[in-house]
Amino acid sequence: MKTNFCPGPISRRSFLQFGGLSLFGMSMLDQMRLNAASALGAPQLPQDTSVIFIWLPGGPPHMEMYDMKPEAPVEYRGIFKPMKTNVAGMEICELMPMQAKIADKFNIIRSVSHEFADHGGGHKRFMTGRIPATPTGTINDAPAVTSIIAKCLTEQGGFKDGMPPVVLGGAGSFDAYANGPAYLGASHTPFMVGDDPSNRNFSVRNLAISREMEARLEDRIALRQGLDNLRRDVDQSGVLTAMDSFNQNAFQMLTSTKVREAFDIAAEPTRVRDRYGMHAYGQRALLARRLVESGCRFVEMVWENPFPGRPTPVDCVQNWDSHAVNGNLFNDARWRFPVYDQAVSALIEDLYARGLDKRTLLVVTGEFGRTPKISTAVGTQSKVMQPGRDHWPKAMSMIVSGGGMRTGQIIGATNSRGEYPVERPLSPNDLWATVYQHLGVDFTQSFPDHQGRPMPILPFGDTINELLPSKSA
Amino acid sequence: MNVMLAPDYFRFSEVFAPILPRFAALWVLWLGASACLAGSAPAEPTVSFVNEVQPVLTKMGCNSGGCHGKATGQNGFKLSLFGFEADEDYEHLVYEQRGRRLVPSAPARSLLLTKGAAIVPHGGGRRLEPGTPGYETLQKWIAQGMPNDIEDPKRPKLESIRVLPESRLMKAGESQALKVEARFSDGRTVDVTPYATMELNSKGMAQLDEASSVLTMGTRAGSVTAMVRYQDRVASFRASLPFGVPVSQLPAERNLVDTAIFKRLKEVGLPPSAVCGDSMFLRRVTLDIASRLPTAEEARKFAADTASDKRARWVEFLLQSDDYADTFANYWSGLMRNRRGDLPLTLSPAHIHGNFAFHSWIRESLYKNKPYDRFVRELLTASGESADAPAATWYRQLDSMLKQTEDTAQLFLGARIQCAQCHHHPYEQWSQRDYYALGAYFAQVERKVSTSRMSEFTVSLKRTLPEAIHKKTGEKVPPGAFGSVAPPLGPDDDARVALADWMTDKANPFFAKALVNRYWKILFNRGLVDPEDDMRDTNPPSHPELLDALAADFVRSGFDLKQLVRTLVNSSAYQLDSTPNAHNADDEQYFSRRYARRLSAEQLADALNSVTGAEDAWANQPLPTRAIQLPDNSYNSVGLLREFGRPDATTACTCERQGSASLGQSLFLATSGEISAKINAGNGTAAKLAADTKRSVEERIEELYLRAYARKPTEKEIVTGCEYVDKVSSKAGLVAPATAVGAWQDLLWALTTSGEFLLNR
Repeated sequence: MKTNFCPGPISRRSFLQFGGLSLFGMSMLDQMRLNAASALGAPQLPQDTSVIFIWLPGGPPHMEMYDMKPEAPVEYRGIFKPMKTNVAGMEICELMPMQAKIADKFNIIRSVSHEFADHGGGHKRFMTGRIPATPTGTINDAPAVTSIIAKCLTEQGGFKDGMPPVVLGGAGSFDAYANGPAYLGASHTPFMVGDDPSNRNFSVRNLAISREMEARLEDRIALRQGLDNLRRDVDQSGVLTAMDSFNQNAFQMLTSTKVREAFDIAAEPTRVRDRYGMHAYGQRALLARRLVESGCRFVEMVWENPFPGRPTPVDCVQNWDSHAVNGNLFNDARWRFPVYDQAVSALIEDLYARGLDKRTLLVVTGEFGRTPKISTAVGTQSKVMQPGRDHWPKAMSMIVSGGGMRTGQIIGATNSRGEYPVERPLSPNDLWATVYQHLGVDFTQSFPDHQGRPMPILPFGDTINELLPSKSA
Repeated sequence: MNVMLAPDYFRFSEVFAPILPRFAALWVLWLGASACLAGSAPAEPTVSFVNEVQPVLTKMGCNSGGCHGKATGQNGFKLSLFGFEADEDYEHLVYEQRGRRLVPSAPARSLLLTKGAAIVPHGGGRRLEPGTPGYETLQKWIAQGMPNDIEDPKRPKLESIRVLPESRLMKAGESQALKVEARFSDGRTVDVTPYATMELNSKGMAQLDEASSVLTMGTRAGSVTAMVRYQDRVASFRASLPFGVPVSQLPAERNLVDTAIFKRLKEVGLPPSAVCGDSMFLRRVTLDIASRLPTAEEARKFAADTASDKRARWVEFLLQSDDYADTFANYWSGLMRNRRGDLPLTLSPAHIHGNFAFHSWIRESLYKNKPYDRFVRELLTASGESADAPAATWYRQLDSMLKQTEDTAQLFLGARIQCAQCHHHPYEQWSQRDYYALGAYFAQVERKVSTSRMSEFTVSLKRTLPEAIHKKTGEKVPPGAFGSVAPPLGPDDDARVALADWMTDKANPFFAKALVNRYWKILFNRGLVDPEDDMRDTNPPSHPELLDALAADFVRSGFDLKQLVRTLVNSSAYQLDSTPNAHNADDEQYFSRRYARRLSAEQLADALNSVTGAEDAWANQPLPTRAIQLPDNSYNSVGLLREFGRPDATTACTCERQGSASLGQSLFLATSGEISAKINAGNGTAAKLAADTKRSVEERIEELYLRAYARKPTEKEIVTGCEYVDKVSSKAGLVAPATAVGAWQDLLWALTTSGEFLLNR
């Protein structure tokens, strides 16, 4: 946001009596030094770790990106050529040359699969780590990973300096991409940043208050404190006490220099912003990096339309759902992949350059892959016959980087036509087990549902040990 | 004898057991048997797989849902959840993995024991101590060659269990050993304490050592229940730590509610808070029954009324109002899943007609005080097109026999039987068979897309025998509700009528109790059984005799819902102050004071509007429509209703409604456009008060307090408010001095975001 906040003198805020004032004055540089120190020497505390989770809704085409099959029949392999990367034997699409240069800094997982071929079902299956009750719709019947992490990290005291522990970017509603809390309840939802940070007028709703309003709010709070003398023990349910503490968190967020600075993407040098790319993908990636750097523990960024507000070319698709009727698979790739390549490679490079790679784990994936066999149909927008691929949960590809993990690996493999895993079959739950463990969240725990039945957060699945730092090393 | 044979067998098993585990096991059995017959050694009683081995595995948690009991097992070893499938478990223990889990010749070397005792690495840690009765049982059973008595007709069947003692008063820190006795079909009573599983219903009150079966009371006064399970039977022990304060003064006993509540308070020595003042009562009862705040005028009049029956008269006024019907229609409509949009759009573009009609059928029923038995009967037996028979809409969301069965049990019988679809519930008496027997009543129900309105449904009946297929056994189960047997039903009978007959029978032990407990929860914020729809032997009521008495009274009144509300709110117990006294701050189960609750999302939306003078416009609803009147979930995307947790009506459980606080709520109240629009409206309360210079500042502040809290401000509050208005006019001592209107806006904001406003206390 374009500094809608006024920093104001400390004394003005002191009556709010928030904790952690000492950190308000800490510069980003100090923070970076601390980060660097923790990255270099001392044993990793789970409190230091964080995750950036990039979500590609619609289903990215694994056979155009990370699992190319040049030897497959023409109706499978598509038109693009694989490109060598700086890791011997690891090849990716020629449209992603920037990642090809840094392939030693990430892993490709080619063998995750599940059974839900609808967007709704695929979202729910992936985002909850459970088998959804219904195969369509994105309203969860089990809590999303984001809600579970929000709950666990908040209970570990994760709300530091007003920084929400879990942020969801690029979504206006937590139900849109199956991030609903289900039986965990609405108090365990990520903080949402719906708007596009590449927009010049970007600000965070309900957080970007005018300088006048911020000051007014302080008067109002003081007035309320003078008037609200209700005994808190009137309420044995504890809602009042909880609300007092959320009120504090809210005002801490609203007035925290750290939070303001973290969200103030305009403060980033133009050079950096341009390296990421001035589009929704790039700026969401940059915002995610700023947030984890400022203490946010889990940032999910949705990369749907790269240029919100601009018309999408008629043969391209607004999201990753490249059916032939929606768009021309190949033209869409030519339009979308460079944007994607720029943003992903910038984020990875930046995480490594800042030493964040030791504590920040990056995962980039969609809800499923796309049919290995190419189909053709008349596009509803382009009105011409064009190629496309449909939904395919039996195989998909994703990349994992940083987090102190081993990198430069290909994990798993699909058959010669990219149809299903033939090596190291994995499920989304294995990915989540790895993510939970990275954050210090016990992935064998259960939470009771509305019936009081204990529901394991991951009914099955285990860490992907190829990723974990080797113990002997 | 097995010890004697062990060396030879050991070698034999090394060679053959991996290939021939079944043979090997039989061989040992045979040797054991012949040795017994020959009388060469004193016979040791054979360990029973069903009555001893399985309970040990359950007690150690091996077959729990987090370990080997989950559907996929754990690391290749799977047991049935809580051991309800003995034959599968026997197969997995004895034969699976070529019998490598058990070594009869050297029982202690069995993986079952070495894993369980964590002698070899075990993900589940150490569950079994060598030398304990559980370990010894398993070891003996293995040594005896894993005898299988699952199908043995001579095996004594478990008939019942009981805990000794059943309940008692305890002192702080005192311990009580629990004994569990099981009665078997052969008439024996056996001490099964080492095999019984025990769990506390509330962890903070006491400690329970499962190994020694000793309960040690904590220091907090109150009651705690230990749930005990052995095989498929459950029982409980209730320990109470009295508060032990002499109860000298009690409010007037107005009816059966007070008799029971006060009797218990005297027993446990817990003096209740006093009966609350008029303004607290007025705001509380108006919110509870009518989901609105009293107007300033109503608050003034009520305070001025000196008649002794003014509270009862106000209750009567509310019960006859539209607001009563709106409030309870909102409650039932949510639980009856009156919602849009689970189905594919081609089948259900909107559901708008059906939903609105269903909501107004519910509302009308409540407004006219339709007897509850008739209300439920009409719902259960609804047939036809939802536009003509609005209650049929219930079956639109309940799109399977499973959901119809589960919702019926949960809504009207106070039983959560969902678990029993797939397995015997660990703390519940209902079996899988009971589940399908209840389900059979719905077997004839057929749902079709309506031919006249594509968005709606028609409910009709298939001409078949009402039978449900048992998921596990595949048998056809005839109808029967909770152990009862339905009268003979043919393909032309509507089995649902038989179910309604059984439910609404005056002697039905579930129906009336479930309802009075529900309404108790609505008005007292904690059920006599809590959660209110989870009534089972292992979740006993806090006041059993009161639950019985209220249910009997409800049946006697002809299932009169308004009469029930009247009885509850006219009691002194309902009217107790929420402010704790010196003794009852910790009380969460004796109703020694009112338990406060946050306003619901709908109540808060309406209360904010009534104080700020704003109005919300809702799609397809006339102005003015209050949030409590909204017929379905399609309005929940709006900020306030969503942030404050209006349920989406996806379950029959009241627990779907979120009563908790959240960061989103705090931010919403502080900075959202919705709130500022209401506070700052040009024709709103703040603007009007600012312009109303004919009245003094004090008078105007009083007006605000009456609107928001149904009470007059205190001296201190008037001073604080006046000072603020003065400060604004003199622009002194403020960060952002506002205009005159601004001062009233700030006051309005402070009063409507405070704890006192957000709480119904």
